[in-house]
Amino acid sequence: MSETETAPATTGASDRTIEITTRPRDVGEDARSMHIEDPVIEAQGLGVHYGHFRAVRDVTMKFGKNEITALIGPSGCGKSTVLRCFNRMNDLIPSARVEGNVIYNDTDIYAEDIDPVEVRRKVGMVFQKPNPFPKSIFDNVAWGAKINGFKGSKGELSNLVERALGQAALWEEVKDKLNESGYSLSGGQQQRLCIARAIATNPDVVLMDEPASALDPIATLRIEELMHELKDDYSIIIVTHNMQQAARVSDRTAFFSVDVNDSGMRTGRLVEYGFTDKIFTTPEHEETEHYITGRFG
Amino acid sequence: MTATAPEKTEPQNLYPTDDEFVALLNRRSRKSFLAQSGFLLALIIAVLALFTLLYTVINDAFGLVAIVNAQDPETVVAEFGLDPDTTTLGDLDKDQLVGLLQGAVSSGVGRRLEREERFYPDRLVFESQEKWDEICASGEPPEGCTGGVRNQADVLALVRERVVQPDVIASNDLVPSLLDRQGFEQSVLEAFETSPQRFGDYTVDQVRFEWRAWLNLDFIRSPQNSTPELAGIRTAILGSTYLVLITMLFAIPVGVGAAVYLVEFARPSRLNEFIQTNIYNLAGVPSVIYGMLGLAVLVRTFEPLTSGSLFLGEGAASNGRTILSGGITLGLLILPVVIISAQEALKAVPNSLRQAGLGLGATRWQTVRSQVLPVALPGILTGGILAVARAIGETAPLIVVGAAGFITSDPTGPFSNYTAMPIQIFQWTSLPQEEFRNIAAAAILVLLILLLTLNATAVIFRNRFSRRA
Amino acid sequence: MVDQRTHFHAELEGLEQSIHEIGDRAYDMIQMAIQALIDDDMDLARQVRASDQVIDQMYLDVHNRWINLIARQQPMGADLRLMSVLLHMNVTLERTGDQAVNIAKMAELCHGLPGSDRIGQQIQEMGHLVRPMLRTAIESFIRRDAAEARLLPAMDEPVDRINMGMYREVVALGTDPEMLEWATHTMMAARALERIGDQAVDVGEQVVYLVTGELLDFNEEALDERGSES
Repeated sequence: MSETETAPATTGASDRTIEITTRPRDVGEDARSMHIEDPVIEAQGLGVHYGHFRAVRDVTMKFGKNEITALIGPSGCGKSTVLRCFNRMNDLIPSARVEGNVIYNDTDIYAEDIDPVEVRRKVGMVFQKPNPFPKSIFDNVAWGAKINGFKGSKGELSNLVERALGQAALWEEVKDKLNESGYSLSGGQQQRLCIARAIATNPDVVLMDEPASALDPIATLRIEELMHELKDDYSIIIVTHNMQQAARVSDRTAFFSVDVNDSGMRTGRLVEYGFTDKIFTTPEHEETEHYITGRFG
Repeated sequence: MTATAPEKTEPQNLYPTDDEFVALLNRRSRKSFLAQSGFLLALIIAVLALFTLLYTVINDAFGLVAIVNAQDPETVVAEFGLDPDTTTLGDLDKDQLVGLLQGAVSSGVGRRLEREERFYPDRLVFESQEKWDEICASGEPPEGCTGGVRNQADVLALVRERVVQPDVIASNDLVPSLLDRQGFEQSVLEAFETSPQRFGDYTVDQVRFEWRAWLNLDFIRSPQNSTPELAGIRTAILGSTYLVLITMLFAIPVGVGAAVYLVEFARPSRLNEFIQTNIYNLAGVPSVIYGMLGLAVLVRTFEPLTSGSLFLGEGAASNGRTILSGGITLGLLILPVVIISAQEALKAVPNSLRQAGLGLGATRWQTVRSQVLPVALPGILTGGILAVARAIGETAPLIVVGAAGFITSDPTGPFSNYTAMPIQIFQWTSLPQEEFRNIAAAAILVLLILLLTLNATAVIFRNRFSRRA
Repeated sequence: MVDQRTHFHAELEGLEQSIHEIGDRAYDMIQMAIQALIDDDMDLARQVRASDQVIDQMYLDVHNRWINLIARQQPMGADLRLMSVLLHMNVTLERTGDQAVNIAKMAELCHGLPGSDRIGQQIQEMGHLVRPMLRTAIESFIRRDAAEARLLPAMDEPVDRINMGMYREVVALGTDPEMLEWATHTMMAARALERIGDQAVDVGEQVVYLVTGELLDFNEEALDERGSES
């Protein structure tokens, strides 16, 4: 890889000692940090602790604008934890402690003077299980705008709702029943409603935490199709358990793995980050190779 | 293959043979049946207990009575030229009833009644105008000068009390009355023959046997009275109503607020854990101890506040034993239960809803107000109503904080003295006359109906909201 | 490390095994076809044709199994590369078999014609060069040895040279029409052997891709090297 960035030699030097996995072919930092011009989000030495337990360590990576980046890896590798760092959702877990920096808009979102509420408006989130509010379809989409101080008139709010539902490819299906409960929709429609809700607040980045894992295959494909369309307006970071899904939708893929230390503590780390076609055909790192070919455990 | 190859052994079948299995299955089925029977028995015991309670109460609240009237209502009605078969005392108008009173009571009693409450807004019945003006101008004018006017029902009650003067000389329970009416009548008549001195001036001819529902409209409408035939539960119902209102106004906002803080805002810490544990402990504290708390703090320490003297000045109650004290005491009593049930309702709201709200850039309070509370509301209300239902039935703390055992005047506001239904029931059951047992049973029925209504409301709330969500 | 896809990997291994067998069979057929041509042995020529029918059968079987695996198992990474290589090798080795049949056909056409010892020797020589190439290609595939596979372009050069020189040899034979007919057919056989050498190089390219993920064109590489030398 000619376009990789060499990370400072100091990073991770002390962490090497607790690595116990065999690494016959060490690819170093090259395979982990991609050089991306003008990234939308950048993680620098990101780590998360839950109490005394270290969930993820030393994640340094950049996320491209108007790209879909997939985070994959085995259970417990910390990919969801990393995702939740980008809109400070980890703050909701009382014992969670985040180290390192997350740069968004030239600012460290973990700086003292940053209110997480401010971050979450610009970095929206779609969750694993569709979780519409127990309100009408219209209110589901309009609520985010209202609480964030949307200044427009009633008509403008309606336009916003229509636009968001349209972007989420749901408008045609719900335009005649905007006053019905969000729960009256099918699972796939509910998830698209949640996507509409997330983009109605006009974010830059949409985080998706296994957005299709609770859906049937057809609904899954619709969500994936939708992601391709949303890419033009938003940067998307998706966590998925489904390798094929990551392969289908993403531009870049980051593979996380998990180390188990002597006392059974599991710590996730970024193993390899690269263009999706490369990761799924010729990964640089043997751990990635083993994971995507099903030889792990 | 070498000689050292491990010998391959068939794994031994450790399961029973088919015949053994059938026998075993029978034994297992028998055990299952025994367990089931045991549980059914427990249910039967519970149902029997409940049934017995209802039986006793209803048995006492209805039945035959032997009654002696100073003046039979039929006679009175007939004097007005009305048909005693189709008309009752209640059909007479107010003027006729006042006339009856005038004829029956002494002028002294009449004046006292008038000073308690006037009969007409524009004219006086027993008192002369000059005298009335004089006493009303005095330093301590009686209530009649400022209070309202007796209506027809009030006068009717007075006529019953002063004119008809019913005296139940014997009463019988519902079931024996139905099964053996003759026996009861016989026993009363025999009692007249064997020991007439028990009945004073009454003669056998005056005795009338009547069916009496102790729980009737008069009972609900009338105030407390020392004569069981005339005593009613209106004062207690009003007292309980005021109490419940104050209890709800205090316990539900405070309890829900505390629960919202603990569930939605508090971060886990030693202090919060300690508070949580103590809320559970407080829910188990005997109610009489809350009475002690109310007495020490509300009645005594905060007397100026609870007696109302801070707001009303001289016109206030003489001490802190007011509805406000009682209501807040009951509120404190149910507070832990309200907090716990509200916490449960809030915890039952899926976390995904909070994450969705926060993920959109809402503050915690925006999320709680718009998404969490609406979903938790039916649960919170159900818990609150059930807790309030418990407060209605509480007796011990009210006795301690000084609910009046005998009071005839209706409460007029939070600073009135008061009595409550369970207090009234408790007081009646402790009196010697047998007829008080009957009206206590009637009062219990009223209380039960009230509680069932509240519980039904809670159920309706829960169903209505849970269907919507 | 636990293999989470034992079933798939067993099938994949079976597929590779079949490719090895096709390769072995094609390897044997080359020798038989050359022998048939040199010794004018029609029996051997028939055996070559029969063997090719077996290869065609195996080729179809491999193709069906391959399609099945793709449809049902969605291989990724090294598995995906192996699948790609197997498909390619299946086609290449089937054609190698076809080329052996072409040589056998030439042997049948040459039946009873007078031949030239010198040209026969050159054909023999080509056989001695091409068969080790195919062996090397298949062995490097089995051992996943990219370095060994990279030797193949160099091994192919003498084969090309002999093939190129074949024309001059034929012209030098003179004007006997029967001898010329024999020589023309034999030239075709040489051409077939040259193709087999190219196919071995193709397999080598696939082996390098399988191991490194880089798909190279050895011929161009060889050209580059030659360019840099001059």
